[in-house]
Amino acid sequence: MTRSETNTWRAVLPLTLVAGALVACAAALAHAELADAARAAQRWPGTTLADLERGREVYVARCSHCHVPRLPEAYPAAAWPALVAKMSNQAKLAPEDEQEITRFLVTTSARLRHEPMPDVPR
Amino acid sequence: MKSWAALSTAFLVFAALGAPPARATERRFTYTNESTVLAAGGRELEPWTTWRGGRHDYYSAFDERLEFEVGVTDRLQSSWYLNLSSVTTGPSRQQTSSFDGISSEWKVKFSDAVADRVGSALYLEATFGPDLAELEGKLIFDRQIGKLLVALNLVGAYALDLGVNPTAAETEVEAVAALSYALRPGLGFGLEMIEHNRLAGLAWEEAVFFGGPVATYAAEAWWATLTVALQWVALVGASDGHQNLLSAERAQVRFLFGWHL
Repeated sequence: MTRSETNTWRAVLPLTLVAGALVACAAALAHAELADAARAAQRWPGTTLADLERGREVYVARCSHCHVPRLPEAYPAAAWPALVAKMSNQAKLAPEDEQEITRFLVTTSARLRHEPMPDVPR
Repeated sequence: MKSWAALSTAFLVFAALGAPPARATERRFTYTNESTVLAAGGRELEPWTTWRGGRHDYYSAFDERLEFEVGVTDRLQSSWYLNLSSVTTGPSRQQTSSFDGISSEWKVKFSDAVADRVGSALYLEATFGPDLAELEGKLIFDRQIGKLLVALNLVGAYALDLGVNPTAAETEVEAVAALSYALRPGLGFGLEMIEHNRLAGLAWEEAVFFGGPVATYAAEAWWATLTVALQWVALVGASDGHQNLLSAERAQVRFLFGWHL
């Protein structure tokens, strides 16, 4: 390999690796599943898959302006209600938005971390 | 320049005293843009400082920008900048300071780095100054992978010299990439890489690759990010070994500070 070619690779390779990382795999933030809705309904009767997905939408819409939203699996399911309540004051979330976000994060975290549904306030 | 620094400091202190506690946006990179935008009604003040230095002959430059950002809608953000610079060159260390103009930036977000497969946004910036008119566009892509954020910008800029040589036009093309690992929420370390190209008409005049570490810290109402970028290689226009030290610098340091208002 000539010196010129080596120099070119020095520049192109790191950029290519980043571009590759951008297009690989699925979205980082998990979607709710039917089984999640069934488990959530035991804790919050009447919760549907659409409710959990709406919680995901609200979570992204309201939280991603200020910081990269933490992934549900980043914290134990039982920790999410307090975290959301704390951030709710700063983000000025409406009570229904706070509740939808909490349901989505608790339920998805429990699935992804293989934890039982925590005994959180209804 | 001193009065400018005093004005900026006074503005920051005033903003700090009057700012309610709120969570500032996080900006994990200084050269690389992310797809995030401020919430509608959100406001942020961002002073920028970039130092560039180390050419074949003595060269030291400070570029200063004071940016005021506003969230227009939940997907659209607008910013206004004041641009100033100070350059010291040559054996006599001659210093020149200048007001480089004002800029207006508009960024529209299409998709999210966490919720969607790839975050994306379009960025347009127009600058108009005593000696320069410039239009810049960026395609922004980013993606969160666990605690790692990766971002890629494709940048194109067209500048017209309105001063000494009014007919001169310059085109710049850049690929900017970065990654940052969050050690804990608000604290990140990573790497930024800038592949900068300058063209005159269709002639490729310069292609320089910079790269170096980036660190960021975000608190409740403010954040700060620092990048140290060294010239790795000049693909076109090398003057000193594999580097271009005639029209590019050996090192650049950029510091951004953001304050949520």
